[in-house]
Amino acid sequence: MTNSININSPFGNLKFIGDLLCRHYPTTSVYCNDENIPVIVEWIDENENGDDEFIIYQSTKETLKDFISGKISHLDLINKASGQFFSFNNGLSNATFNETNLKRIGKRNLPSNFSFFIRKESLDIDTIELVLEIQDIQEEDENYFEQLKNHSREINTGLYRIHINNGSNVGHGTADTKILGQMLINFEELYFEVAKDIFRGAERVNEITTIEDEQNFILSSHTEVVIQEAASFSIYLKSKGNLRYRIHDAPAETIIEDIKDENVEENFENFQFVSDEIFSNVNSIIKNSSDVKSLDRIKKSYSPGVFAKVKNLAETIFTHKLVVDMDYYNPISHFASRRSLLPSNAHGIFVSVENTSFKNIENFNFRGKFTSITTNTGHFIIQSVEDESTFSGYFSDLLYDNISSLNFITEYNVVIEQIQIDYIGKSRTSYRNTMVSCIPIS
Amino acid sequence: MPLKYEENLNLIAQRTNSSCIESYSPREIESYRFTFNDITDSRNFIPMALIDDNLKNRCGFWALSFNETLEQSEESWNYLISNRPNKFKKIGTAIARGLISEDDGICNDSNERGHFDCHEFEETDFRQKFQIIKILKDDE
Repeated sequence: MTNSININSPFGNLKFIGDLLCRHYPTTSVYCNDENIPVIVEWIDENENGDDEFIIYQSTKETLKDFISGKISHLDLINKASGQFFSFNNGLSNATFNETNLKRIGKRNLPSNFSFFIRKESLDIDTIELVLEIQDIQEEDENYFEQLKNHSREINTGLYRIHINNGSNVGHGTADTKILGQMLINFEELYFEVAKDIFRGAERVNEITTIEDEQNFILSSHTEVVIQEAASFSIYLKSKGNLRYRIHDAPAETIIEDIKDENVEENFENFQFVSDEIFSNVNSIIKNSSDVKSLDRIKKSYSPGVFAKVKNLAETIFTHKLVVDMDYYNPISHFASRRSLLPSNAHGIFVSVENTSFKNIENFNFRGKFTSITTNTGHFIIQSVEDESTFSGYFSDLLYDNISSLNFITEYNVVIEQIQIDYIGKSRTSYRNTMVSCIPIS
Repeated sequence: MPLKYEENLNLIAQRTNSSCIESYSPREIESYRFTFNDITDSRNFIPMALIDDNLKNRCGFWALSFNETLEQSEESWNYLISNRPNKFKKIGTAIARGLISEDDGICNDSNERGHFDCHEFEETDFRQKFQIIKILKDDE
């Protein structure tokens, strides 16, 4: 604990445990009362007098743990407060507490619905988990995976289980038709795009030429539901085709461990079945799309269509706050793959895909006159005197230093470097222009 | 050269029996920081410990926060604002870029998100060295 001074509050005597968020600009601090129950203080605003405004509320260890593990958003954490909210200004010591409610606090002062906990943004997460004894211990549920294996053996084919074990309107054996339907359609579309990449390449240049190949593609690129199970809600899918690449001796059982060994999945190449490869790639794409860095590494290995579909699937998962396990097992090849997806991971995938792009650079040389120059930001608009086309953008650092020498009368020979950015998850192209040379014509 | 907030750091060191700036050293690095839209705004280069009393006992909050790239800085600002839409009132509404030199202070190593802290020397005035390069939100 960084501060053991007792503070009187409507929730009893409080002790400061640590700052939960954000690392460099704290907004959310965690305290505990005499019963070791978490009490949370949130900075919400700065009023007209320059005073900081805060709210304080009592939470539970379970709710806090769900927030830290990524199952619920920050707004859910606040909404699930036990009891009242109180507001106060400036410091907590000697504060005057006034009872308030979320309506009075206002949406504008609260986190967005999809703001999730990011461990690296937390300064004192280790202390908070230790003091409140809420460390998340991941226990592998081997019995549960065994169940998938048994079903696969019964049907004698590879099975992919989508297990929605938490989320809005998902209970034991029931799931909203709309949510389940959306989830299955999103998954099927992703599966189809991944299959297309396998058959036609990420650039989609390989033509399917024979009727046999066409039939193989049609069957292998779709799935069908074979089992539905109450647990909370599980759907078992199999590939409609059962296409084998070539005859193999069945290898020793290969479980692709998602988290324990980062390299296993990428190194596995000897797929016996096309469906093994598709399901494996689906899980690999999901794993590698959750942050921009890893997505950057794989973005050329798959077509933009794949990323557009994984984004849709992620959106469904975080919008409905679903916790989903996506496991695969093939009893013939013994190939296995496991993946868990939380709303926070899904939101990470959505944001990463939105922000990942391909860049192309092109230079434009022409003679033009400025129509706008903004000195504090370095923004310009220039019109070509040759064809009247206009370019807007920013000056390079070097040119920015001499911005005061430019005017709207002189003609300049300019070079504009244009970066074309194609975002992989959407059909949007943006352009970024930088003026890199500007020579007055005397 | 003495640090700008050396007295405060010494008080923390006395209380904790350890120096919290041992791993800091001078760096020359292009860097990005949240500021308000006017680079001369007096709030631009103030450590969090002077803004929030609750933070004055923590060494790191006497340093100024920087990122190595514009993208990292923008990503960090966006996360803060998604978490607390009004936070721009405290952290700023623009991103400024400048070159930190070895004469400006001592910095720690950047973390994997490109963030690092800098304890300024007494004479340092970053307002002279930084320029606004991106407005993220109009000042209210």
